[in-house]
Amino acid sequence: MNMLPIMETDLHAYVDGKLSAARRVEVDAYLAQRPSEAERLRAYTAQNIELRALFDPVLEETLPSRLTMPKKLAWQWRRLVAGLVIALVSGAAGWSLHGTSSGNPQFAQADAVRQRPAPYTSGLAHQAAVAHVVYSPEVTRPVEIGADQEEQLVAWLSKRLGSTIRPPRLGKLGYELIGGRLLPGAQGAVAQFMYHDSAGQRLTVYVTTDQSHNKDTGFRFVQEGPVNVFYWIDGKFGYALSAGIDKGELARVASAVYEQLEKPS
Amino acid sequence: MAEAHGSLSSALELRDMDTCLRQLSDEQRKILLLVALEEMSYDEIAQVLKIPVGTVMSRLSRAREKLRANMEGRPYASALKVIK
Repeated sequence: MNMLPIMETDLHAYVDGKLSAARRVEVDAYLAQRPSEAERLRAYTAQNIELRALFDPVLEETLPSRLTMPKKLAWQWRRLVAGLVIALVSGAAGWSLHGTSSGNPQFAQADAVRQRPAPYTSGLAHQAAVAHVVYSPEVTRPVEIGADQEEQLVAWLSKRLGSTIRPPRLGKLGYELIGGRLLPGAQGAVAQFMYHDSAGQRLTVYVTTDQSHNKDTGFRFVQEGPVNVFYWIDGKFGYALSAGIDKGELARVASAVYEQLEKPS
Repeated sequence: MAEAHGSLSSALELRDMDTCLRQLSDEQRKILLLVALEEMSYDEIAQVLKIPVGTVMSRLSRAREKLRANMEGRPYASALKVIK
């Protein structure tokens, strides 16, 4: 049977889980004959795992001691990654639209979404995505007020935004509230609530109250670099959910948030 | 400190990783972090960094091999092999 030769690119894609199942089998066969190459790829796989451990705040928190990383070092690295991702996200709006129209399969899903983002509201999604990538990697202070002080959080954010703002309850979907913070928006303060699931995946809900100049919208989806965002406008409120999770799962969370806002308990 | 034993070896590994990561060039580190942490595809990285995907792959390859050499405490053999 003819088989494409195994290239260095295939070996990296193997480590990163980016090969098709069929190609993976071929690489497995290739490695079975080459122990030193197999050893090299095991080392690369270990690097991926250790890098995630180094940067993943929740993994670090679950370790019993604080010996893991000197706080200052961890902090510097996370700043570096945050800066990198912001730079990408800033450049990504035009890029992802370009990707969609060029028929890149990665973005074919975005094409399938009923509505494309309109220019006048996509700023909301973009700001939410940037706020997500800036604050979600933070370990020591991902939020200003933690979930253990939820009443103070609600009172404070509601006062600053001039409307009652409550964090949606997403426990049934596996997302637990970490807390919230206040951010500067285009025309006033914005609230950001942060959640995480049991694997440490973070999700943010971004709420603005300066959308009265915009028309209401249904759910809209946009991909901002590595972050997926669902957003919608309802009266003066704008909502955006951001996370690095797949669109289907994010859509389930978005529906739950929408329902809670429609029928406050 | 009694509970620290279980995590001590992994803690040391993470500190090693931190040190070794600093020894990569900015370009190598950037691509490695985007691949490992953001799990972006090689094509996506090439597009956002505006470099050919071949350059992404060669930097990734060098970053991983240099990191591996550093973690194992041996000198990194230059990628400039003579190919006959």
